[in-house]
Amino acid sequence: MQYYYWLGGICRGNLGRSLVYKEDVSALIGKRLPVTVHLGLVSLFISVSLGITAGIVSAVTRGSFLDQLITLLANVGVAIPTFWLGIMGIYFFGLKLGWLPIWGYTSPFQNFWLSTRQLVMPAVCLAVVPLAMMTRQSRSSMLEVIRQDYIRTARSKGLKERAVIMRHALKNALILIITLIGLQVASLFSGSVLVETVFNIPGVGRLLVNAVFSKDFVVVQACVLVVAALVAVVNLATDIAYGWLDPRMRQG
Amino acid sequence: MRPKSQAKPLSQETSCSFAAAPPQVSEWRRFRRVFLKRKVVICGVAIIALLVVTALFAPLLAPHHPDKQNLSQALQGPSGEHWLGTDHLGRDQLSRLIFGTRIALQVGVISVGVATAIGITLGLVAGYFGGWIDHLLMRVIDALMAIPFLVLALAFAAVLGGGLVNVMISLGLALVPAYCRLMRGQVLSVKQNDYFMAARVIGAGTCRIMLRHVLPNCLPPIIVLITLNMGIAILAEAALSFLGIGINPPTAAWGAMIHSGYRFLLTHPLLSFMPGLCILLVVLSFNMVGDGLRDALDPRLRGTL
Repeated sequence: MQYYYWLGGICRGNLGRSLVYKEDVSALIGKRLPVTVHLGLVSLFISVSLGITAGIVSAVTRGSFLDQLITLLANVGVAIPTFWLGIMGIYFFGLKLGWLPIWGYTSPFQNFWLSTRQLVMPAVCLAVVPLAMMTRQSRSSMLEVIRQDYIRTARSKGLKERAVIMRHALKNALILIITLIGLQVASLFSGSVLVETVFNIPGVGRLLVNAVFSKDFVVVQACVLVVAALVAVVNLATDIAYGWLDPRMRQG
Repeated sequence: MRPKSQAKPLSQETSCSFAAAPPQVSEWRRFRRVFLKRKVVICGVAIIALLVVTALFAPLLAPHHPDKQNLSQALQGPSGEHWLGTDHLGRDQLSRLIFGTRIALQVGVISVGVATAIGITLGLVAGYFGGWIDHLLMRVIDALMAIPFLVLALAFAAVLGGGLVNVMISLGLALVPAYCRLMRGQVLSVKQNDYFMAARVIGAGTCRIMLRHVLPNCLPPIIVLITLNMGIAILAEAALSFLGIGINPPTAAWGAMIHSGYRFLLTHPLLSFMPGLCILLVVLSFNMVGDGLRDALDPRLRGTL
């Protein structure tokens, strides 16, 4: 019955009241969500742009030293503990070299320069795991495409290798890669829980961790719900984009 | 998090180059040859073997007791007595790292075991019977799959509380959806085969078909997923312990060691550096072995990932 009331409340946009903050949970999350989204978008941009580039380079030069190096780095990147990477970043770039501030978050509308400086380390740390996954996946989908008949046709009609890769292979590989971006969003949320804790950033991830600590279950379930809803929306969006990019999918 | 993306290419495979009954010698030999062809895979196997040996013989290998405090020797640098120095309570860092292998391995094996047992059973039932059971189970799994792995594990840990056992259960539960999905897909593809129909025609019972014919033919991709998830579980346990929601302080767990070393980062970076390096190496090895297994078990994916 309690669950029924809770469900009814959600439909009306009411996530309940926090047991600890004595504030509406929707307001709590509303304040923190933009922070997490800002961080996540920057990381997504880093991981997607670098990941696709690295994956394609690695697939095109398959078997070379460069390919082996990229594959090795991608494998290490998948296995790296995000929070540990953050701590090491704080040690080297924050404490030893003093290049970057070690914690905090400022809205880019308040102070753009400070905000960017504060965001560099968290965003890079958060990007590492999705970047490595993106590299591996775009490498494998590129290899998949290169094996197709139409690539052989393109080559045999005398196109330059560059044109074959850029025009024929890349276009088709991108379709596969788009759907992978949807999967990265979930891993970004997982990572943001850790990165926000290490760098003391007031986002949804930190809110969730603090709520778990203080046994504030209303906030915990609201956070999980919001994150799941966002992931579902992004996946839906990539599915739609997929149908839009690939006419073959529209009939199915 | 990762299981989803890993499960995708796996669930597509329909062929079972590994026959149900005892694999023939040539199959086994081919498997071994492909599996051990790449050097990184051999390195991974070696590191995992080293991990197991270290965990088994931890009391013999560790120079000190991992929990013995000696405040007069707190926060010392590396020396002949303490190879990697001591932490803020004067505990020998190397000994704690060695005993940490036990926790890591335990968490990996048990949480993945929980996930496999529950996930395989649910997937088998859903795929075999179909109908409303399948629909119901799959909608629940779909909903769980929308929640990022670590967030889901956090939510379970919030309900169950901290401590080693609860962390293992939380991680296990959070991994279930991936297994359930993969298993269901496998069962559906096995059901297309002639031997499945043959077994039904000769009148084998439901249980017998499920356990003798369907289950063994679904295993190869599950084995790959198990190996890959060992790394993921160890990584996630370290993350939970780092957040302070996982394993409680006196126990020597790598994530918790990073957490307590974090406070002394400026003066003693080694305290948080070494446990992280251990996690990285172990997780990397499990991933490498998992990739090697996939190459060996599914010839079509060879060399592409």
